[in-house]
Amino acid sequence: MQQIENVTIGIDWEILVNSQNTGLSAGKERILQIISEAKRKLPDLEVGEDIDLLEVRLGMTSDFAELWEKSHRAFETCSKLAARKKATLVPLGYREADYNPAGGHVHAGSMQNYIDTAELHNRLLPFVPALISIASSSPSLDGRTRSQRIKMNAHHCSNPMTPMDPERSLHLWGTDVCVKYPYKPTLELRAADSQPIPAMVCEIAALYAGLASGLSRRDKPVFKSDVLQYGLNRINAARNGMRATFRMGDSEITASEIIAEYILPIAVDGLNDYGAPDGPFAIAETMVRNRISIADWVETLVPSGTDPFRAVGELTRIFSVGVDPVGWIARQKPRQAAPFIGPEDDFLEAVAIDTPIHHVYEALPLPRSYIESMAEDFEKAGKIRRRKGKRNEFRLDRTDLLQ
Amino acid sequence: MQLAAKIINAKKISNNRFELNLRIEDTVEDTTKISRSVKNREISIVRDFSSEAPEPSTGQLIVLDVAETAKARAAIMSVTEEPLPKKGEAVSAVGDFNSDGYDELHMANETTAMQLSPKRGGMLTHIAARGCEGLIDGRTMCGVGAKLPCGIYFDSAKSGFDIAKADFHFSRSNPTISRGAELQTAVSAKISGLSTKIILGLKADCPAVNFDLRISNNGKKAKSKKIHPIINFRLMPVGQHNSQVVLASPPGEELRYAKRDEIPVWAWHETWYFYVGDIRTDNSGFIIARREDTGEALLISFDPKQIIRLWHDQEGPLPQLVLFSDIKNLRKGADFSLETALCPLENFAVADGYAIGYIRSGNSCHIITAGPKPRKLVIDGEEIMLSKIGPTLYQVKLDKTPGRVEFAGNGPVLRPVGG
Repeated sequence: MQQIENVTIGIDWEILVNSQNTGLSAGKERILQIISEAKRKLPDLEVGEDIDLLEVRLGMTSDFAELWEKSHRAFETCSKLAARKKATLVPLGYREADYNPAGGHVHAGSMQNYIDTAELHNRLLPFVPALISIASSSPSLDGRTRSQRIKMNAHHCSNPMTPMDPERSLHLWGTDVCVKYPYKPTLELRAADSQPIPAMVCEIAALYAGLASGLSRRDKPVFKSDVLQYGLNRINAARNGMRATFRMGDSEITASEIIAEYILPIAVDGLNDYGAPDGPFAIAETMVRNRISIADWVETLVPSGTDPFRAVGELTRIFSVGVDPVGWIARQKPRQAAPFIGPEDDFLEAVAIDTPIHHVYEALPLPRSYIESMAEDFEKAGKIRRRKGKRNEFRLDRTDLLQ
Repeated sequence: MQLAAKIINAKKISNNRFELNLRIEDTVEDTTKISRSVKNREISIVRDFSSEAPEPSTGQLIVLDVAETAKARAAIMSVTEEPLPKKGEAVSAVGDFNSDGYDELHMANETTAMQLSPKRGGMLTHIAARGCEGLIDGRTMCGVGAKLPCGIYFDSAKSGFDIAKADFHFSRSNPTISRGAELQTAVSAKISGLSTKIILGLKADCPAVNFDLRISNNGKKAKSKKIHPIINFRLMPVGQHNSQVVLASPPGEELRYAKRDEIPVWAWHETWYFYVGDIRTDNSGFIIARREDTGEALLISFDPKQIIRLWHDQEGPLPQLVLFSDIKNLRKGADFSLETALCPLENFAVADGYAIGYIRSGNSCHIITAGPKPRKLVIDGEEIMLSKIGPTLYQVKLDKTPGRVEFAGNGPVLRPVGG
């Protein structure tokens, strides 16, 4: 396949803009004022809005120093502009409701050949759960998950792509080939949450781009294709963050092992051309060693169960003072890996009374045939009831709710 | 609504515990400006901070949680006591019953208690069986999304109008407190040149509150206007953070919100929009929402000829129910009226487009039915006719709680507790 000769990286970094008066969103009007100012101050960058968020789009960067400089300059400028409007930038996935977490999307390039891009996309799939783990910063309010990426957005960069019928098939969202930058088609990772400091954004971006580049230089994919396992692994990544354990083939491997043994070496190899300085992944290596992600840091600051408005108020206060998540991660003792968990709880959670089965398809990152076989098993075990709806579609009822 | 404050002074008590003197600056999750009687008031709290967080210092933001807000309110605000209705009478009063700094309208009889805030577009903030907690929580009705609470929805692109910012007013002649067998009271506002009134009626011997919206295009310079009247309910058990609410549709289907999630499990899936939109409201004219923890319910009755569509928010963090009327062209001098009735219930059964519920006070028991047509009711084997109390709502008052209530023919069967 075509190798990525000249690595390019682009970032879409979504950032919450919170009012210093309430801790909640500063509101569309104020966010647009900040964006308007930022566009004047940063004409070379594409600062914009994305559903109540400020989004820093770096455009195409062709070396690590440029990525570092642009992301730091953008964040510092936007922070100052926000402070003038009595607002604070809070670049985390965590929100006061378990909905629409802010993301840090990475565009890795550049490819020219569509079929090779599809091939590379598929080679990247097994690594997406590990990338969700390391980039998780959107713990749920009840503390059950470290990332909201069980279903949100990650769906699009976690399904195989086919070039078999490109005229009639849709592009997968995560692969905006020939869309964003003229002559610079990229592969997009949409599974990463927003990161709290520019240095971490740069590392996650470089990790993904280096991985993509490194994989393009290999003759064969590292792992065999298994969509079911990637789905199960993604559930584990979202649930346990950096403590997650995955299944690859017949064996189990932890998130930290897959990053340390596969992703980091491949990324370092792939990044050569990008001109990364020595030790480009110092923070990532510490996170891997200690099995800790930003979601754990957020949990320490605002433990699960904290009143959600109090929590976002506290995070706004903390970010207005200044944060050092890297120092915190380095101070932590290594944590134990969590055991691999199956999708049973997630399945039952997606089923209420009279739930169309296609809702369950959407709620879980698993193949439909597997969901249907799970439904059969749960029906045999008496946990759900299956019946036909008015339009002859399957509907599911959870039996404990019927009682 | 919770309060947001700035630190005036922070004193360390122990390792991570601080005593904070705060100045109240704002409210969160509210569309109304903070009341002058609350803003800039000083309070003191003790709070634990994470050892990894920077220590609190002067000028920093603190958002009070629900318990801290309640304590702060109790410390700085005087709460008006709800007047108790005497036997055989309804009572209405105006005062600050929830200590938000603004006056509310309170109405109650032996079975029902409700409050309406004229702020935030005229909003029902509480309705419950007397002594119970209720299903509408004013604090969360005016949520972050600032959706339309109740009233008329204009095309905002043309008018730039946001109903949530409209303040209704009590009538000048509205007495502070009034008592009687049948009470009617209203709040009104001039919205985009239209006279808009929310009229509430409560009878002494009836648990249902009549909740009507009346719009008149009778200004001096009135022109023909296109309006889209709606009534919007944000349903959330009072004092609860999770959405433990079940919606029961007339055919007997249950649309359940998840216990554990802020967002209903199925809410954000697009398909549910169509599914919920398929609830046939044109025959039955009612919907019921029930708390999972207490079983308490709220029956909303409406004229199916007026309400053409029932919808609830697929994305919002709360169960939100919107009653849509058709788009109307309101000519000069014309009026429009949308009538609903809200009835709290202790328990109910629903099937085949009809519902039977009950609510008790003392020894007496009100049997409530809802459905498109008045039907004979069989109570403990005896046929009884009911009287109409709302668009599709009927009741009969009994001296004791019955054992079995059902319609003559098919339909739901209710076995009240203690019958």
